[in-house]
Amino acid sequence: MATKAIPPQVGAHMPVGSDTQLQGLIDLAKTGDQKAKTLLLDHSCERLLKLTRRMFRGYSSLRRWEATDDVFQNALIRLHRALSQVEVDSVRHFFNLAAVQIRRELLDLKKHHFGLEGSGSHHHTDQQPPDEAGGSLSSATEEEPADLGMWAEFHSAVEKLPAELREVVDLVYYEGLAQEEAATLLDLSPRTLKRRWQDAKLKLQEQLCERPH
Amino acid sequence: MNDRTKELLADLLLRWEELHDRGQDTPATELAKEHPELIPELERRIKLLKKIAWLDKPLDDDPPGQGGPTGRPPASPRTLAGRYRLDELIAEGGFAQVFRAFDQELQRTVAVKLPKPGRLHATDEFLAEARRAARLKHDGIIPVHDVGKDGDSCFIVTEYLEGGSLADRMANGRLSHEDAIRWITDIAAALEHAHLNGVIHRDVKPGNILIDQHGRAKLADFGIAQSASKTGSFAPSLGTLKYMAPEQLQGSSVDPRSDIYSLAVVLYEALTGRVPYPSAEPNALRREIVQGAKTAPDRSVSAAVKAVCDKALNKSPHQRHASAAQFSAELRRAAVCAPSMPWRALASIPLLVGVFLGGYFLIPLKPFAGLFSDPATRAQRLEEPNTGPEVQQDMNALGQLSAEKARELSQHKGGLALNGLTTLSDEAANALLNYNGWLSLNGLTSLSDTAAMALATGRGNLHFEGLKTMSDEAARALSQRWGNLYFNGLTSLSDGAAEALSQHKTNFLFLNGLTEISPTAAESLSRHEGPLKLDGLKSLPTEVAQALTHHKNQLYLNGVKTISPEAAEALGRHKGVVYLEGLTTLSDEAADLLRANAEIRLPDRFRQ
Repeated sequence: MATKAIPPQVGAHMPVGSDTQLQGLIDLAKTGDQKAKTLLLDHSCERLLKLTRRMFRGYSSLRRWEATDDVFQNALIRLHRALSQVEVDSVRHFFNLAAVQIRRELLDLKKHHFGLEGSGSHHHTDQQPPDEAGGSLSSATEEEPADLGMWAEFHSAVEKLPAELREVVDLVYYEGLAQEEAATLLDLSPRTLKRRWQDAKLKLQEQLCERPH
Repeated sequence: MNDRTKELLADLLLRWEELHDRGQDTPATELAKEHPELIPELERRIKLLKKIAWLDKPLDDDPPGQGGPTGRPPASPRTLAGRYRLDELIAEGGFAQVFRAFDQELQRTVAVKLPKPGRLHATDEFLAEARRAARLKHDGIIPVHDVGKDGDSCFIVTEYLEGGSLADRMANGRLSHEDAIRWITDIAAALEHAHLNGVIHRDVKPGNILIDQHGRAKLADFGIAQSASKTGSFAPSLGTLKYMAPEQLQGSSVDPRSDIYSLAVVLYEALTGRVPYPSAEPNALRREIVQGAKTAPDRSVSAAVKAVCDKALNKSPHQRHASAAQFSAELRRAAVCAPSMPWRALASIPLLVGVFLGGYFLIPLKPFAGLFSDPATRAQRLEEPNTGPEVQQDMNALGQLSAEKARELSQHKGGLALNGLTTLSDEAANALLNYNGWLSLNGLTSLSDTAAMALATGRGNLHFEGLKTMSDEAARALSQRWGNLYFNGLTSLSDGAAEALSQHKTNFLFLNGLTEISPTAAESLSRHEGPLKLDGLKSLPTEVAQALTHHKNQLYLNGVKTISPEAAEALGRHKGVVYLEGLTTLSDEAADLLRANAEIRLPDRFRQ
């Protein structure tokens, strides 16, 4: 069994992620340390919450549900259950599974709140139009999904990416790893990782541009 | 596009991104001035990357907004199936809404539960819920009146209770301890019935506990209940995180102990005004349930009640109460012992007679009403000898003891000898729970844990001379009985049972059938505070003698024929009277050591 100690920067209640040097945790998890698995699971649940908030942030009338609504709690519980069963013999495998689960839950959340198709999925939001949101360099042209229907299209688009690109999106976006950490995990050079991340973004945006409005 | 062009474009784009990250929006014309043929494609790609640049932004951590549903939707004007007029939305979850409604045919108020639009499998699940609830007939379970369809939607009609839910009561302030414990034991009764019928509720929470006009609590919403034998079916909801047992959260198998855990969370909240794991943020809450330490209740909760709560909240199901009935019995016992409980009020708490087997009757604790008049006189009254004539019931003529006959007998004041009875059903034992007099059941050769638990609550001596063995759980239950315990038929005693019996208080404990005993069991029994009779022991190994020296009351060892100097030396340190009147041989050394303790009773010939 593992003899390495948990990195001091990774406290029991501190969400792990790119800002907390996930690498130490990954190394530890590879040795089979149970505490490390618990922290990895915590990390994925935390990502689900953050991604959910992002998806729903335009819906002020729904912002409180994340803490109270049993639909979100169900998503969290399902994720916890699914990942509890996973053996962390491969951290990469764990993250892949976790990302798939997170994506599935995000898609389910959309379905639960606005039904399977259409009715309300392109719901009007309280979010400011991008051009009114500020004048930073990128925000003038960014097209972050503005409603749950568009978010669902984004998550579905990720599903359609080639495996090697999807895995990068899984790690960097869904799991929130820094690019360096993702490169290490995938045993790629940082430059190759950057290339794949960029390719993935291009393909995603191309798919999203093709959607009917 | 050949590979070299692809590589070149990728390099240029990476360069653009690096500069962009530094705040420089470098145009394609400048980046690709040495490869002008690539400029159009580079511009297109830059434009795409700009559009999806949000993907690189860290997810913000903004706290949940203060917005939210701006109040309950207005009451629907609908009438379902031409009969049920929906008057007011009274509860809403992620998957369903509950309305106060009016049944226009029977002219009565009812509650109607409707799935929210667009929920998957709502019809099947709703029908399954209705079937589950309908087959559970119990005073503590909200009955299903009807199931119907209105268009594509299915609905369930149940009894409507005016008193609102326990959640409503708690929202209005902390509950009195006696109310809290009465309601929790009500629900434990309902759960026991459900469990015995193979149904696990899986969503026990204050919102699903309704209070009727008589102040009794009832369990509602079997929406996610599942037959104990059935797993893996679709359920629209998985439970409520705040009240969820760790094993339920982790997807492990769920059994009645998961419901007991949830009920204990409700108990904790009802007593203290907060849940054991108070995080409002679901992720933190999830962590705490699985691996966190719960917050300690305040001092208003007695140590005894806290101990029951702690046991039921154990993260390991194996460490919790084995059944809702056991949880209820321990809770009532703990509440009775709690110095802060108003005794008179507590005496009105209904006892769960019949609850253990799903009976429907709740008998108020009337015979105890005087008993609990104040704590000071309680112990004294418990010690009062039973009065009244003895009843010798010829059980051979009677055959099996029916619950009805047991209830009739339980009205008798005085002793009750049912020595011809060879088996005691749980129903009959539950009926005898209310009986306060000595009880002789010497014909019994076995005793179920449930029956033992029922008999533990009364007072008066208990005679079980026919029992050869006893489970640890039965011993634990019976140790709580006020009165002498006669177990002279026991020929063996496990260490666990001995440990359990050591909790028996100041009355006699008769274990004269034991011919030998382990040092561990002896050590446990030595903590028994009342007289201890072990007259069946033929010898006394030194280790056993040493263990028994901690006993501080009368110790009967009249079956021992001889004793070694080492054992004699140990018994010489015993602080109470030790009876060794069966000794036949004794060395001078051992005799001297025993005679040194004036409290040791020896045969005449070994006295000085």
